[in-house]
Amino acid sequence: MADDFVPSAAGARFPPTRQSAVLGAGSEDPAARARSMDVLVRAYWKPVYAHVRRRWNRSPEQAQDLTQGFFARAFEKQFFATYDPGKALFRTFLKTCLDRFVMEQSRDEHRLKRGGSALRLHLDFDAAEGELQRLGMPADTEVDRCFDDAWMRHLLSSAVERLRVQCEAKDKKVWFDLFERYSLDEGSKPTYAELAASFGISAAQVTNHLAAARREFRAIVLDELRELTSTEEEFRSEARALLGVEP
Amino acid sequence: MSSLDARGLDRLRASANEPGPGDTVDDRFEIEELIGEGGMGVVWKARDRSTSQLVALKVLRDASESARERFVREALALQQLSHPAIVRIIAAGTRGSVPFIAMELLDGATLAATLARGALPIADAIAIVRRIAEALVVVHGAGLVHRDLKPSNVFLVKGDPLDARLLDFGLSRRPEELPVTRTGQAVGTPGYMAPEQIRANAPVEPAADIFSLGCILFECVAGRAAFSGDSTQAVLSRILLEEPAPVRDACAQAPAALEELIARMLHKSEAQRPSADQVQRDLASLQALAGEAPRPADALGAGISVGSILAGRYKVEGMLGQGGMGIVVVARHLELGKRVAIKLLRGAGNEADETRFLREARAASRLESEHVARVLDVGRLDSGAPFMVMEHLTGEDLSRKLKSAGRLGIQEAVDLVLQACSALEEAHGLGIIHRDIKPSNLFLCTRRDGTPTLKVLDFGISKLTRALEDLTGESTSMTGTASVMGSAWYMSPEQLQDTRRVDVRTDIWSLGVVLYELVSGSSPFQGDNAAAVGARIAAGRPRKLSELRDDLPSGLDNVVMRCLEKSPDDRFSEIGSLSRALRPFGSAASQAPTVGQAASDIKGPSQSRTWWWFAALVGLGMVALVAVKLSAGSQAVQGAATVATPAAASMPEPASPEAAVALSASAPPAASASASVAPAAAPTPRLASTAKTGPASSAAPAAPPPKGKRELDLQDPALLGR
Repeated sequence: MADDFVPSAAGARFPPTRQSAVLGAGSEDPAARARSMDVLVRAYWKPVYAHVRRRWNRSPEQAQDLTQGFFARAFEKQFFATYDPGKALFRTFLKTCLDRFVMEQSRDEHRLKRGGSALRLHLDFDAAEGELQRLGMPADTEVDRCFDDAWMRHLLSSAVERLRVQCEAKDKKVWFDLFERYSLDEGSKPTYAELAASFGISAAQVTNHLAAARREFRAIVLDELRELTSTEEEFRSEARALLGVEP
Repeated sequence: MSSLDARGLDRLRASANEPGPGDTVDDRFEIEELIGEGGMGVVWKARDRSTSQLVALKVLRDASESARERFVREALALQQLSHPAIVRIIAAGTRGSVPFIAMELLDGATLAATLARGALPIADAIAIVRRIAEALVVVHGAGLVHRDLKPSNVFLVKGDPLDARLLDFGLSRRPEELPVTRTGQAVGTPGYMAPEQIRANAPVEPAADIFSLGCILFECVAGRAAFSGDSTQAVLSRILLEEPAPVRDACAQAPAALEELIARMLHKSEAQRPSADQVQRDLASLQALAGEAPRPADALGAGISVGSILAGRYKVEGMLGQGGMGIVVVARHLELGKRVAIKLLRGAGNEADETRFLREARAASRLESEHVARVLDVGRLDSGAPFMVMEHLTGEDLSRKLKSAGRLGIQEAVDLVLQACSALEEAHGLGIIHRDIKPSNLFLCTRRDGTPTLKVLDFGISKLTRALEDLTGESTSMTGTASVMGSAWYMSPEQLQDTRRVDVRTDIWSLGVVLYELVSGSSPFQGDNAAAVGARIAAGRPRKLSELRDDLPSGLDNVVMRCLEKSPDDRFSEIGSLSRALRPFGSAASQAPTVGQAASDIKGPSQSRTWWWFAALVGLGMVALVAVKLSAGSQAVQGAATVATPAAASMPEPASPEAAVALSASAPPAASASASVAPAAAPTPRLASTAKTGPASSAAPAAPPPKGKRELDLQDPALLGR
C-alpha cells in the first residue's frame, strides 16, 4: 500500500501529521497546500480510478488519464479549497467534483491530452486495475457505491499496513500475525482456542494480544480519518461509516 | 494481504469491533476474561458497571447475515420471555456492527456435560425436564418455538437438577414465520429433532419442542440417546421411522407412568403429543407420587418459594402451572392438611393486573356450582401481591382428552357440555360472563364415587355484565378496547369485533365450538393462523356435523349450529335454553330434573351436606326460622331467603328425591350467591329456569317469575317467533 503511490521526483514525501488535509487545501501557504494534496491524493486516487472505471465505464487508459487530470486540475484550480463542511462530507464533495470533471471531459474528449498537464503523479495504476479485476464487475445496484467502497477498502487496507509496521516496530509481531489470521485470512474464522494451539500460546494470551491489536488498529483508522475530515462532526460521521462506532 | 472484497471488508470491520479483555461494551460491561466460544459467538465474563455484578456477555463472531439474524432473534426472544427456568437477559445492543447480549452469569454445567457421566437418578431427570417444561409453557405462550432443545442448551446451575435453565434461543421463531435458514431446510440438532422438523415441509409447532424434550427425558433416564446411529442420516431415519426402545429396558425402576409420558412426547404425530403444561403437570404428579419436593427453594417466581407460608396457613409445595398473568402453586393447609391450588400474580403485577386478579377471585368466589373450580380464600403476600386459593384438582383438561381420544362419544360430549352449562348458568345468573370457554379451560376430574365431573376453570378474563357494574359501581372495562382477549378459535364474531360487547351469548357460541370439536374432532373454523380463523369466524360457515359423523342423532346438528349463528340474536338467548335443547342427546344420567343443578349437584360433597341440612329442617317445619336467622346476619341473605321460603313453604315434606333436589338445588346456593352481589336483586336466572322449565318444577311449586328473567325471555328467539 505504501509503495503504490510514489510522489513525483520533484516532491519529497511529507512526514505524516495529524492535521486536517482538507483544511490545508485552502491554505495560503503553498507548502501546506502541497502537503494536503499529497494526503488527499494518497487517500483518494484509488477510489477516483475505480469510480471512473466502474461508474463511467471508461477503459483503463482513459481512467488513468482522467484520474491524473482530475488531481492536476484540482491542484491547479484549488477547487478543494472551496469545500464547505456545512454542506456535505468531503468525500461526497470530492465525488461531485469528479463527476463534473468527467462530464466536462466527455464534452471535449480531445481537450485533455496525455501528459498535457504540468503535474504528473506516479500512481500504481496496474495494481489498482488488478484489484478491480480481482473484485469483478459490481452489480448494477452497486455501481453507485463503487467510490465509497473503494475509499473504505483503500483506507482500511492502509490502516492494516500501518498496523503491521507499528507492531514490528514495537516488537509485537505476534499481535499483527494473530490479527491477520483472525481478521483477514479467507475461510472460516478461527476460534481463540485454535489460534492458541497454532501459535503455541494460551487462549487468554490470544484474547489479550488480539484485543491490543484491535485497539491499535482502531486508533490508526481514526488517526487517518482525522487527516481526511475537517470538522469534529464530519470526523464522527466518517468513523461511524467506517467502523460503525462512535470514536 | 490480498485486496479486500465486500466480504473481507465486513469481516475486517467486524473483527476490529469485536471486544476483548480490557474493553468496555456499551459504556457498561467491562470485559474480564473468556468464558467460552463457538464458531458463531464468544462469551465473555464481564462486570456490569451499573450493578457491579458479573454477567455473561455473548458477542457475535460470525459476520454472516444468517448468523446475525439468529443472534438478533435470540435477543428478541429473550427480551420477551421471563421465567426462572429461562436464562435472564440483562441488555442487548451492538458495538459498531457487532451485536452483543448480556445475560445473567450462571455457575454450573450444561446437562450435556452432566449426561456425559451417565444416566441421572429418575428424580433428577424428572425435576430437570419438568422445569424445562415450565419454561416451555412460557415460550409457547409467547407464540415462540425453541426449535433447538438439547442437553447442551439446558444449564444446571451449580449442578442442581432443581435449578435447570433453558439457553440459546437463536433458532426460536413463531410457527408462522419463515425458518431462519431457507425454506425446506431442516433446522435443529439431529438427535433431538422432531419428525416434522426433519421433513421441513410445514411450520414447526410447539409440539416439536415437546418431542425434543422427550428425547432429553429419555436420555436422562436411560443414559443414552433416544435415537442414535452411525451417521446423521441414520439418526434422522430412526426418528422418522422407528420407535425408541422402552426406557425401562435401560432403567428398570422407571415408573410406568414415566414410560407412558415419554412415549407420548415422542409420538410421531405432533397432534398426539402433550402440551408443555401437560408434561409439567404429569411430571409434577410423578414427583408427588414419589413424595419429593418438586421445586427448588427460590425459583417459583412471584416472590415465593417452596416451603413459604402464605397467609400464615398455606405451605407451598411446588408449581402447578402458569398462565398469562399468574402462576399456580400447590400448597397444603397447615391446620387441615388439605391440598389446595394457589394462584399468584407472576412477578411484579401492576395495579391493573391486581385489579383484574382480584376481580377474578371475587367473581369466582361467588360461584358454588360443583362444576366451577372452587375459590376457597383470597389474600395478599407480604409484598402486597394478591393470591387466590382454589380447590386442588387432579385430572386432565378436555384439550388433552381430545388430543388423546381424537373425538368423544356423542353422549359423553353432550354430558360434559351440559356440566359446563351448569357452571355457566350460575355464573350468568350472577352477571358473570366467562369469555374464554375452550377445552383447556374445561377440566375433567373424578368424584369420590368414580364418576367423571367437569370443572370450568379460569374466570380470569370474565366480564361482569353491565347490570352488575351498575349495582357495584365496579368498572368492567379491564381489557380496554385495543386488546382482544380469549382464544381466537373459540371467540365469537362479536368478541372479535369488540371485547366489551360480549354477553351470555358469547359463552354460548364458545360452548358450541367446544361441542362441535368434541363431537367431530375438528374445529368448526379452521385456518393457518389466528387471522384466518378470525375471518372464518366472522364470515365462514362450518361444515355440518352430520357430514363429519354418521352416527349423529337427528337434531343435534341444529342445536350446535344455533350456537354458532353469527348474530347473537339468532343463538340461544340463555344457557338454560341450550341445556334444554341438548339434554335429549345426553346420557340417561343427564336427564336429571334440573339443568343447572342436575343430578351432579346432589353428588357434590358440599351440596349433599346442604341438602341433608335443609331436608332435616324442612322435615321439622323450621324453614321459616332459618330464613329469619339468615336475614338477621345479612340483608343480602334475607333477599335470597325470601325466594327460598315460598318454595319451601309450599313443600309439605321432602317426600321424594326430586322435591329434595329442587329445594336443595335452588335455595341455599341462590341465597348465598345473590347475597354477595345484589341484595335487592331478583332471584337469579338459574332459579328461574329451574322453576320454570326443569322437571323439578313439576315437583316443586313454581317460584315467582324473576324480573331479570323477564328481560332474558324477551330476547328468546322462541318467544319472538324465530
